[in-house]
Amino acid sequence: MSLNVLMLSWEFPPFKVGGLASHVYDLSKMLVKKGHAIHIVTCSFPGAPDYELVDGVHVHRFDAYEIPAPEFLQWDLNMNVLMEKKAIEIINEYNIDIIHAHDWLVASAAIGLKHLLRKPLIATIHSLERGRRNGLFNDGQHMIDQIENFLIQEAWHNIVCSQYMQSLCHFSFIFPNDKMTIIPNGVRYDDFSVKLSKGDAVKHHKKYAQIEEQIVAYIGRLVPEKGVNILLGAVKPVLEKMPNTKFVVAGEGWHRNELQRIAKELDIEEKVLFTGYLPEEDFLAYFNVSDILVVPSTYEPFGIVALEGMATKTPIIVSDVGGLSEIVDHQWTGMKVPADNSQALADSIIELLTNETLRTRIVSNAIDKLKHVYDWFIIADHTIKVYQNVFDEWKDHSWKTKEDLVKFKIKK
Amino acid sequence: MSKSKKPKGVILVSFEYPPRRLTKTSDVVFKLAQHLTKQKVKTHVITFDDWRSGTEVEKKIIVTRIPNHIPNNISPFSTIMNLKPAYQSAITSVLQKEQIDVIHFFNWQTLPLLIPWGSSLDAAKMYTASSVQLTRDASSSPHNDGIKKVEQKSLKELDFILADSIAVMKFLHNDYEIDEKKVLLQPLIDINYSKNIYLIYQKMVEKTELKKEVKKGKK
Repeated sequence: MSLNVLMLSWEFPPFKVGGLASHVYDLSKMLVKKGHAIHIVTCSFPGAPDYELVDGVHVHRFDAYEIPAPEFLQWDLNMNVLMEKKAIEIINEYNIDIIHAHDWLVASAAIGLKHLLRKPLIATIHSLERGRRNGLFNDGQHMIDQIENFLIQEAWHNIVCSQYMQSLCHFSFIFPNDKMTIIPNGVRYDDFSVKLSKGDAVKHHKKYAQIEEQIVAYIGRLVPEKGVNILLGAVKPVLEKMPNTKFVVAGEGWHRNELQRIAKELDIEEKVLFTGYLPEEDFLAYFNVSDILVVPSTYEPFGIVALEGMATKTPIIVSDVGGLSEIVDHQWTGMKVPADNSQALADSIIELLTNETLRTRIVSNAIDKLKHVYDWFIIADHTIKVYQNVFDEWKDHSWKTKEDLVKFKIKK
Repeated sequence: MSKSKKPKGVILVSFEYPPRRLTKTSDVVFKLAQHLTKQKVKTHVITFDDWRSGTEVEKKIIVTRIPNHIPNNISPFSTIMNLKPAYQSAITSVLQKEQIDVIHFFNWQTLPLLIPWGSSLDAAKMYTASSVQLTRDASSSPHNDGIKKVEQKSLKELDFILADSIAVMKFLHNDYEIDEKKVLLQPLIDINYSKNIYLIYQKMVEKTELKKEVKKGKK
């Protein structure tokens, strides 16, 4: 049965803040390929059309800045009433079966729509505030935490990206596991499998390191929970055994100055390069010329960068935390090291740099796992199963509008 | 006034209701609800209380105090926006079960839900404006301007507005650009307040029925 799904996401390409935009885009595109109608309601940006059809996905945008706000959290709450208004316009035009909300940022609109329409609400919980902040320390963080809880409780069913996230939701909000389904994120691995010519490889390698140096790479936001300081702690022990190694840190974030100060204090500045944001055209080449990709996070609800590393055939080393633990099978699809342990990370880097057989095996197995677990085609199938189950449950339930009670007669 | 135009059901949506009193509105809502039940109008009050939630029948008035799902907030403005879904849930629970002819809003704190839902609610929508942001705090700041915008956008969704004072009425006309025909002066302290409101409800029911008939193509 083909379903009409209304998705709420505050970001959608080309407007990207985090990984959410890409996730919603890849998922919705694949759901359309499988015969479902997807309507996305998302924030507008200068020059964006109010409506466009993107790879079969109906994208509806609204002015999210119409109501002034003193700061981001209030802006988000104000944005939600405008999003809800836009969504109702779409609902009046199309027959919607399911509402699918992505994260707390759209919770208020999603819950309002659920009550107006009496249609099932599905929420994807991509991460939790208490995890992102490693605790809750002020009113804003408590507020977000309570909104997350509210959304989870109000949803007919929730989707989480890892066992770790399921467990976090379960223990944080005393929430039953059977109201959550684990569906991982995906990766378009074909788009990542670019092999550079020898000349291009040399050209890109030189951007980051001497030609004789091997590259240990990091890419991501420079914020404490990403654990770049732990990677910096591993630099000296690696250099003692393998002096021809260069450590490259790609990305930006408010923690950058502190990380550069640590590099100076450790006297490793010459061997660590902070690139800042990578230009789009250098992104794949960066992975390609890297010998190892390190993901040293201390908190990671999923860890999509690990999938990207696997897709580019770069052997990965990850911290044994959160979703990363589930993506990587130790010494099979990557290497796992205890979190917050620079010496263990150094040992793992040395082992991988010196063992070509291990690297080859990891790369080959990683690609295999991507094809069987993290393909958007498979992820869309899991999502459709959730949609279908929820819709069937709802059809047989009395919680409906008067019109739907007539339209969908309860079987019992 | 013919009997057929009497409203069958009314929802009064407020931010205060006895024993919670922030302004005189609290007791005005209570007296109005009492008057309506005496006229055999099924009367729901959907309101907020600091320390309790749930539904109870008090002197034939069905009072639902909404739960506060987000007790931690960054400002009173965020509190108001975070209460919106709870008001919405309570209102639809009533609308699904009963015929409601009029939804009457009190206190600006109840208004945000009208921005998305204004055109989706079939019942006549009314608001008693005892103040506007410009009478509470006229200084310009993102916070105050945000509240003013919420008021502006939601007031446009209403069928009728009762102004508590001439000052409020002027602000509604001049600064909020509300059509003069939609606004009537009706002070809260008027001893005939409840009686007058009941008469207005009857007129609104008549208007709504006419609209529905036109919609159906009967006229």
